Amino acid sequence: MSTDRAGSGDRAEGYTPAITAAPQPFCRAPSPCAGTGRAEVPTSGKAASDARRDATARGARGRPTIKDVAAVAGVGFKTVSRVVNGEPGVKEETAERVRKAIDQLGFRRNDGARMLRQGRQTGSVGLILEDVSDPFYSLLNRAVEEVARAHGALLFTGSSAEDPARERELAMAFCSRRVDGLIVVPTAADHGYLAPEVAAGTPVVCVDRPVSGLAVDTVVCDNAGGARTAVEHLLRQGHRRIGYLGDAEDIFTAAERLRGYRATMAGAGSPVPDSWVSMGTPDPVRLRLALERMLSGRWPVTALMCGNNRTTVFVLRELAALARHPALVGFDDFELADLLAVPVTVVAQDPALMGRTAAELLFRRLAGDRGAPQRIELPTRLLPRGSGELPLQAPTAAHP
Amino acid sequence: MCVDRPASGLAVDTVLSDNLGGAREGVEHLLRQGHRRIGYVGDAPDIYTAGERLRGYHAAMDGAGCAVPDSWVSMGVPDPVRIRLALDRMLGGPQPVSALMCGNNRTTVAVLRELTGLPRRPALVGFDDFELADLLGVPVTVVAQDSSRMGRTAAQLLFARLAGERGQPQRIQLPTRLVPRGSGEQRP
Repeated sequence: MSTDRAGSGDRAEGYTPAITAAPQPFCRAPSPCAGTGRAEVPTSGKAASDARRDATARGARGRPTIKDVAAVAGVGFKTVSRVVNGEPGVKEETAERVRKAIDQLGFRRNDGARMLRQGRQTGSVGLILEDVSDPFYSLLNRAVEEVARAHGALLFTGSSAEDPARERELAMAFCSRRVDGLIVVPTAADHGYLAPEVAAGTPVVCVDRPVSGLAVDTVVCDNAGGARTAVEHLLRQGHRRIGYLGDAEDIFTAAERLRGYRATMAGAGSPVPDSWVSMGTPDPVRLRLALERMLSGRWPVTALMCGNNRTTVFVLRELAALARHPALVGFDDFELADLLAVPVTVVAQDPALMGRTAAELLFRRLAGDRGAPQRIELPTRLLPRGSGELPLQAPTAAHP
Repeated sequence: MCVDRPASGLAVDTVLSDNLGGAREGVEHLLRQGHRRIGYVGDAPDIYTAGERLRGYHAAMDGAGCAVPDSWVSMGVPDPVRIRLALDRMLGGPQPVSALMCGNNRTTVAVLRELTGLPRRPALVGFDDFELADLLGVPVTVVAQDSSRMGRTAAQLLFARLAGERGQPQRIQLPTRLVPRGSGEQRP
């Protein structure tokens, strides 16, 4: 990968051997990493405490270096280097001080130089997700791309189409092209085949769903909790007959959200007949039949919960055709949800945050982080826009 | 292999939509409903597709003998503030436009957002379809591209080249499709 790119304010210096220049991380929040200021810093006495204060202040303007971290933590350069590289020989309380200083200053090690030392030359990472054309995954994709770019790495992306064989082909193709790391939205199949890659030093981070057969960093959202929020919202409006339409049950997120729905309904003392639940790949025909079933008969549902954005959009279309308007909450936001005739209430994830978090985890691993695999669960957010707050119709003789 | 827009300085296979023809068709559709005061809101004019679609708008208006004052055209990155100001200009004053043509889906969505709640909404045709266009309060009439077909065509050309195809660089222009759904059939 070429190292003589024109400098750009938001891009890491990548793989130049200049060890003193730390790569620019991807940050939108006020960043301690902007600019290029570096200064000599004393390590003892009043000068040191002044330096600590100055380093903190400068942290807001300049890129912090190992020397800055050393000054703030009150330790030597070599000690910081050991902590950053995960090498032994540092007391835990000292290491903790160093880590605090690192966090405080927003210090980032020079990934490029380390990668060169480790013989990593490709400067690329692979991303495998279900479908690049799905708006949820496209936002996640872009977020990963921006983090990769900030670390001077190229991103390759492929769609698995929920097919384990296709996913495995992609993963192996990326590995054979020697990507430095992989971010995967895993299908339900066992991923033990990736264990040798991970053991050989190609970190893998799973996103959106956990993976079986592999102990790796995972970033998911609170699927069951989000579904519970949605159902509780409808229960609070007075609904008791709430139908659920979700994706194929072998998909982790689909199963978790259904679980949240069932648990919340059980908690409210509302038994759920089979006819109120329809799971499967979002398909207009199946959804139309399911809706007709749920909305007819002696005990029609008065509200619906949809398990993801594609299901919600298909259901909205079928409801318009049926001219029926049960209350509705969808899991996942989607563009124009707020512009529809009845704006759609959703429980929203943040796919960009999910992608960013996963990518940052991956680059920490590439920088040498050898801690235990992390599981990060991101919260969801209820956005009441109208469809979830439609007034419950008064009971009638036909529908008591 | 270029897709969506041509590259300057490179003689390679190119796959595009009929940007000019599609925009012209959208504006002609509005002219057929009886509109004569039609505004145009498009993307940054240095983008090839934005420039072509603007030309299509002008071609249709010229063809109908309609003069186009500067205030009826607003080009730029789809930014809510710029779009709000442009719409205020086009819809305010003694001779407001009665219809709008939007140059791409992001512009259309931004315009729709700004039009929400206005008592008298202009007729509207957008270039590019977008999901849920049919489910909005007034379903949106669009001039649709087929981006899957564009991608597929480009990829097939690329693999033909990789297989040894050595002919002249091809330029493939895919047709667009007017999809009348409601917003473009409002009469002045």
